[in-house]
Amino acid sequence: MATLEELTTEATAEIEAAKPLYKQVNNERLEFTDADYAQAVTDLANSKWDTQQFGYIQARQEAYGSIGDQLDMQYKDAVNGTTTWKDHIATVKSDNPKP
Amino acid sequence: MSKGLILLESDTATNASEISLGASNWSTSYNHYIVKWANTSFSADGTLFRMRVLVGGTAQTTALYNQASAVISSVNVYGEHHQSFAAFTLSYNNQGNATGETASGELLLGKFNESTHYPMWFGQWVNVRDTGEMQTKFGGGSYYNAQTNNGVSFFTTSGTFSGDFELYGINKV
Repeated sequence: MATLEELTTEATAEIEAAKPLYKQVNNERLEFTDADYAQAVTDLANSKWDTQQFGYIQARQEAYGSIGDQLDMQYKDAVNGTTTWKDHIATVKSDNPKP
Repeated sequence: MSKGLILLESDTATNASEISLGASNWSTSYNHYIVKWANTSFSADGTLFRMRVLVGGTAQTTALYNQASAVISSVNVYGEHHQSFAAFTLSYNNQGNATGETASGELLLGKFNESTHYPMWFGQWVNVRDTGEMQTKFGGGSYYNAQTNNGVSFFTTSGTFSGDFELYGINKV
């Protein structure tokens, strides 16, 4: 797992490769200032950090499926004596592990 | 005096990484404002589309943005919340650059001219994913710093974006 410093190095390289970047202010197109580039690196590095550290939450949220579908699984498990819902949750967790 | 929405700024972003609305085009004559963006497309895959408030025309980057939003997708329902982030996040999933992936939305801005209150906003925004999944997000946010503000800026964490942006003041009756 990358440290924030390593991700900042990665982000710096990506922003360098993407230069020049532009902002629009008062309908005028201006190249980023040094401060803007520095902020872009910080934003990209933090975004990478968030994805690395917390991306599994969103991935799990999507993979779990809707509450309605999960309740349906639980109902069928209760009626049929199966473990579909429990297995599904376990699979989602193992497929999207915490860092 | 005209009533209703008064256009303060209209700008078309073309392969920009950031766009500011307000600043010298800001007017303190209004209590509330509406900012909207439409048909926004992105050059990079897996980027985040975000917003910040302006103070004196400068985007505020301190981690004081709080957010509470609900996401209603055509395939599921999610909640999303951030406390003390460095920006307000508009995209739920990473925004992509495939054909058909676009974002649009509007926010009502309030308390921007009041130095003793936190600027806040609420509204709704949508994005279409490359799978065709439609995500509607609604909710609001604030910047936890009591200071007058004079606009907002939009940016992506990587790549560029293009789209139509407008800022309106809502005229007092």
